[in-house]
Amino acid sequence: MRKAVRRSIDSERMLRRAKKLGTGVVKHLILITLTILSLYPLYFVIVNSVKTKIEYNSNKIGLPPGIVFDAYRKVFFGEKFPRWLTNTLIVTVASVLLCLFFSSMAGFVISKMEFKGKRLILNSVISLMVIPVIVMIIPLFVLFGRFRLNNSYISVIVIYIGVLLPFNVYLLYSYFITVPQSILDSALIDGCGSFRIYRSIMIPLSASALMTLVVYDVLWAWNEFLISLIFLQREKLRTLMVGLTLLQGRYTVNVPTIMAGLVSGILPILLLYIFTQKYFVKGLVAGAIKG
Amino acid sequence: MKRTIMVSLIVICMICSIGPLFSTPQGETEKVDIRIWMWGEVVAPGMNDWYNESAEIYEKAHPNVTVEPTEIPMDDLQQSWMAAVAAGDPPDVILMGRQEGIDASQAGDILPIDDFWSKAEVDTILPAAQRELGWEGHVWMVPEYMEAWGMVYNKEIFADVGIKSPPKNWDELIEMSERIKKTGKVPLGIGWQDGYMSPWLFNTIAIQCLDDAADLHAAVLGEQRFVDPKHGDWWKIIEVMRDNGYINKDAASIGLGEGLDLFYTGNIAFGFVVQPVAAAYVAQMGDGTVGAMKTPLPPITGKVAGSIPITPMPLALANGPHPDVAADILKLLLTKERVKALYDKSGAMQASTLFEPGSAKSEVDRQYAQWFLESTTFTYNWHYTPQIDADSYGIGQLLIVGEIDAKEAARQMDESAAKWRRENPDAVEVYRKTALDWMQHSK
Amino acid sequence: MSSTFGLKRTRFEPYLYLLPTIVLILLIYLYPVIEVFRESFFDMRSWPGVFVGIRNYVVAFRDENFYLSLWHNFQLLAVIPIILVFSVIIATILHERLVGSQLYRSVLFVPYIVPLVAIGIAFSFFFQYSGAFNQLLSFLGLDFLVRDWLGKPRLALPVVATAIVWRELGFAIVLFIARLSSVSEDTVEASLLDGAGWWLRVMKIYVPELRNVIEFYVILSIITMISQIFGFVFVITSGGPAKATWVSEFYIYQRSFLYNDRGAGLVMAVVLILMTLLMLFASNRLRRRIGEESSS
Repeated sequence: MRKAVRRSIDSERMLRRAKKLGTGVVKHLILITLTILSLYPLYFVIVNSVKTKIEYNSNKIGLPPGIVFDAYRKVFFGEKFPRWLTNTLIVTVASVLLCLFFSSMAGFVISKMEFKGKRLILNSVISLMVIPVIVMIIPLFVLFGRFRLNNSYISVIVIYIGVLLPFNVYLLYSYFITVPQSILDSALIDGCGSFRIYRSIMIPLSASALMTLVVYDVLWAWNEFLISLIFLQREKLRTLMVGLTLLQGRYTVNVPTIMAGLVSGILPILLLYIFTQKYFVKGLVAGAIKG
Repeated sequence: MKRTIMVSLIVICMICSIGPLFSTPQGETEKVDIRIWMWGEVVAPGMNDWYNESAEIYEKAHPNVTVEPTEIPMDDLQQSWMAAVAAGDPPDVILMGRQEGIDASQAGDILPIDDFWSKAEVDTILPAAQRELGWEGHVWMVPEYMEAWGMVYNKEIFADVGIKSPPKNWDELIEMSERIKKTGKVPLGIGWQDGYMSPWLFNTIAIQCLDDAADLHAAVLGEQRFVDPKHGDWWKIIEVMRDNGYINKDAASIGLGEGLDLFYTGNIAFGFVVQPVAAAYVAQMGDGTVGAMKTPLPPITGKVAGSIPITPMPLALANGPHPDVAADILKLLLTKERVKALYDKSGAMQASTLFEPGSAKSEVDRQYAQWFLESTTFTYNWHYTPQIDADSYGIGQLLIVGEIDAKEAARQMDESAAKWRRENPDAVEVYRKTALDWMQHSK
Repeated sequence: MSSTFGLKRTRFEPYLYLLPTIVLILLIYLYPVIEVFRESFFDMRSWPGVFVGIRNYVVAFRDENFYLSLWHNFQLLAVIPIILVFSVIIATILHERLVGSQLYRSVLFVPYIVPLVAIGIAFSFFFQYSGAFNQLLSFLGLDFLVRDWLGKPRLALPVVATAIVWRELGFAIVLFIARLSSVSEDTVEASLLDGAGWWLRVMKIYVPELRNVIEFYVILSIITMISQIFGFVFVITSGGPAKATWVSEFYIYQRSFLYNDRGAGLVMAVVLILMTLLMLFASNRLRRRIGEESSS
């Protein structure tokens, strides 16, 4: 009798294990399919960047017969690419650094101090995130033009900071709120002024949140192209993304060159992502969950 | 307390450092900085070099002036211009179309070139071009280069199929297409996804049905209609070509540029071109393969049929701080030496009496030069409005992809004009005035 | 309880810290919004514009393209349920400690970081009639599915929608995984012991836990589809073919820049701003009411 029961339990276990394996395979299949779909455009871009124009026209999806770096040569040694890269770097670094500075101050104050209008500021900051960019562009272009600020890095940097502020402020605010009051109280007792507290306590404690924001902000600024298209029209000032869209003329189209340009534009961000993945995910998700 | 003071000081310092950026620079009266917003490299490679070279020449002769040519993509030109004007900071010279120029002159944003040039200097511009560049008794704009509209054909495919000479009218072309198709080649190669093929076909086929620009003006104003035979019947040609499979299958999903590139594959028998593009074909494929031809005659022919339209790409003089200096630079661009340099460097011809057809580098260029000097016609897409132009892109695209037929295409053009009239009553008056004016000055 | 930091010493401290932020927000957000509202009653073909009352509104509301653009935005809302269903399923699969789930998660997120410009260009070449997608279909013997994806008006918006789904899926998956990781292990263990199937687990445990995040994501997505979608359209189809992918922001762009007359575009801008603010307001109300219900 016992033997029979044990045998049936064994076979049940085997069945369950088999089922698990089965569903496991199915799960992996789904995931692998999704992975292929997710990465295919990247594959498309990379693979076609090492073909010649003729090779591309005859074979758009497959691997090239040999790897040709002509397209990359055209992109990198054409006078424009290094310039575009520099411009993007300048704009990205400046706006991200300043944005973090301003938003950490704001987040600090909103989370830890009481003052009139605090509620209003917090609420408006959040709601403003939904205004579409296209609406902002023309009035700002006209305004900046009146002050002769157009076609200067300042215009784009100021706008980038402005656009990134709401999210940054909100994130830091929700982070700072979690800093225990006791730490601040003891600092106060020690006679620290608010700036000292800001500099020596809040900032170091929020290192991980700041790191997250750095990654999020850099991603956004690097990929942005509408604002820099409008405000940085002079050839010397063009940013990378804008430059890449210009590789496609109305009259001429050289697909491998365009692809090579795209790869060069994506690569830095991809590298950043690989090395700071943790923060990427945390940042984009943190605001959502707390919200 | 100390900390607070420190913070306040930092903030004040920041504001102070940004402050000066908000003030307009003063006292810099001696240095003049001229900005030219132009376009053309993608049609005629080498044009950027020509501009930079010209800038250097001028700067050497006038050390206090810096000339800054900037290439702006064609699609961004108009929006960049409008934004710059609204901001009170326009470039000194800008490439813009005729109707845009008329609008800008109404608003006082540009100045006529004949206020700054002598009559002799203005008359170096070909008479046909002067007509296109002028209104209200003035010549307003200056040609950057000139596009002559026509077609090319592949001599090798002709030889294979046994065609002796280019078709004179579209019936012949359609008949030839059937024979070409049988050999596995594609008769006509175009790209219509971005819609730009529509104005191209207006300038090559549609225009030949008209007697005069007055016909087009009338259609825009509603006095004639785009559904009338001489305005709307020509769409049928495209419909027939499409239905018989004489056009490349992916025409609806590739852009103009990719369509033009098809000719290079050697599988295309006929292609639409403007002269600089034809020059590029010859540079790559040789005179032995590329042949120049006028666009065949449509079934309905008007007085301007058989004449190649030439479009002088207009440079407008902005109402900026130094229009005199800018006008002077434009004068340099149209000297004989610069005109020759333009052709040598970029293959683009200039609508100038100073251009020497004898300097043509290829058989195709020689043909086109001869044709453009004989031109008696106008440029179709300079004579309707930007809204109709923008709408025409979609109409052409729908036609080529098979969504609509020729009759519907004509009807939608008519719709577009009617809508423009309905939404812009004051613009209609301006258009009527300048259209009438053009007619008076063209006699 | 927040402390009163040196408030006794100076009342202006908080405002000092806030100064740059407030200045920038006023400049970048408030000023354009006010300007747009003001200009919608003016003819802006000259500066500073001529007052024309509601003429722009009349032109806009009579323009069939106005409604067409908004209609396309609403059509794009259809991607939201698609993204939701797939992302919840994938998130639950990845959450249950599948082999290599870390790797999958990293890879599936990549579409979200690729620049929009790259996506647009790649997709626009990929879906050409003679492009890679159709070539792939032929290669797999699926010739009958070959279409002119970017040429036919009816197919263009779905291509844009596909790009949107492609990009947003990764974000949603990561979002839900993060939320799921705080679900208590015990509940799951208990259900496993009870022999609960995967589907039951999803419906009875995971989805309820995810409800708040799902709600948040839906609201975010709705706002995105209505007013933050310009980039996609601009880089993939440029509004074509023949207005088939005109969305409300594209209408603003076209009327402002290419038609030389900003009036109707400004009206659309006003409408968009009002719509998004309304949605935000409504969602706050909703959330508050749900909060009340759950606490009662």
